[in-house]
Amino acid sequence: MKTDNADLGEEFVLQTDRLCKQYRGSTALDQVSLHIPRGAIYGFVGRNGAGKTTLMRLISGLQEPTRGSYRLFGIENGQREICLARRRMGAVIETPAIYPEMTAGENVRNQCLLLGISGGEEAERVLTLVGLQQTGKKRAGHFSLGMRQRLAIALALVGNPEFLILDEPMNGLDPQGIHEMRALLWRLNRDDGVTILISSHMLDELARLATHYGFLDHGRLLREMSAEELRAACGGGEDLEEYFIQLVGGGYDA
Amino acid sequence: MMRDLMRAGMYRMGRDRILKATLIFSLVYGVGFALFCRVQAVIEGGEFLIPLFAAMAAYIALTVGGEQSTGVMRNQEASGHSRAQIICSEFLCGVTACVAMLALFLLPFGVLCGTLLRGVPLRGLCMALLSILIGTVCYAVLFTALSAAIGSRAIGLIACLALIAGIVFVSYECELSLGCVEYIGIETMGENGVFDTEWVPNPRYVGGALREVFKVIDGVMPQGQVDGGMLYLDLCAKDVPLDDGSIRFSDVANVGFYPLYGALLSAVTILAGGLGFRRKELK
Repeated sequence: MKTDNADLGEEFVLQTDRLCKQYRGSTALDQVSLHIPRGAIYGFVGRNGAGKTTLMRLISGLQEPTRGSYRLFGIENGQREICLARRRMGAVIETPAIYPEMTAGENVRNQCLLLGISGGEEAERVLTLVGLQQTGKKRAGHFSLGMRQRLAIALALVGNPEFLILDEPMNGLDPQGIHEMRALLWRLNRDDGVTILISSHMLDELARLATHYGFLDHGRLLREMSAEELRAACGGGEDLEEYFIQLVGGGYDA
Repeated sequence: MMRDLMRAGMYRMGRDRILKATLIFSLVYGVGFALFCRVQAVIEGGEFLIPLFAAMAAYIALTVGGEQSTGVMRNQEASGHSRAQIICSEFLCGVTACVAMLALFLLPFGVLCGTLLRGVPLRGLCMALLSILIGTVCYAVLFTALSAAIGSRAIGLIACLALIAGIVFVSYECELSLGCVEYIGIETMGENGVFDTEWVPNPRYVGGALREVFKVIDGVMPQGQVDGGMLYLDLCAKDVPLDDGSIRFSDVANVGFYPLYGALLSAVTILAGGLGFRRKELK
């Protein structure tokens, strides 16, 4: 949430330091050290199982890292204040997390209460942002996948977060929806200065949005670069897919 | 922040169809129970409350399990609430819902069975209601801890129902042992055709220190607290002196300790449930 005491001097919204996550016998994240600058749209690129979602889950507090640490708005994950830092971010991770028996408005109102925000106008605002203001009394369980995705994004937008974590936000959206989502993310980033961490297998879409990239493979961060650096590396173009395939040595299956 | 979680929890409860259904069931079942007691002119035992506890188990398992399986609980965590706050709000919401169900169940009893309760002194009424309330809170806490640990609606429901069955079985066994006589008379016909009574020790009877242990186990089990509360109410209603030494009063001998037992069981369950939930990886 935008707060008066926000540390605007902080260069990075999120920094991870040799972050590791291991499950029984497998390593999901291996010494990942990434840096997301304030105001960036950070495209997270990696094949299935590369560790993108695991990293997002760690940042959101859904799991604890096995080793390493991260700093969110300058606050390290071991500190008690990390919970307060998370109130300044919104997240949509994996499947849309919504109450299926409640309407879109009720879902948003519930999220407002969770954040201590008084409801009505905020619910109207975020539902209008994602184009769900007309859904009325239709329960979210009866929504299409695209509508659920929009609703999940609306929930993440409650309270004007400074940092958005979006895991495959384009999933289930029709071409019109993808266009609207792209416009929304642009607007949030440019007009409101929202920093966005976004993962997607739709690399051409990601290339239109991202200002920075992180390439992840088998739990390891292969490279971090800005869009300008990617352009230079591609010889003036910005073929993200081609670059990624070269980087991981082929076999991209998205 | 805890207040925000509770406000959101109450808001969801107000829109929860499962809760509405269980509240209606509690009221309807309460009317049936009250009419049965009125016709029989007796205050029935705590076993009649088992369907009510099953409804509570269903509500909590479906709600807490559903919040985890659909992933909505992660919105609470990503909104900056700590695991301790989240599980505490789950416990509080679960207890609130279960107490509301109990109130709706007992309401018709209070209205329709006023004549049965006429002779009950205020102290006896309070003690009995407190025991039933404590038993219900213990059940709610146990269901919430179990559902939070499992995180699946279906498996959580089965586990909660199995928990009720286990608790009822233990309470039944305890009460059976506590309620039986120490010696059984076996009549045999002698050679002269006269019946002789031989007194042999009852194998079910437990005495000494073990008897005290059984009393504590029975008192700690939520079903034992509810059974004790209902029996205490019945005895108060019939104006039976509680110190007449009858074996039947062994069930209610510990009724004064039930709030302590209940608070202890609830505290231990909340602590264990909270510690387990802190380590849980949410979907």
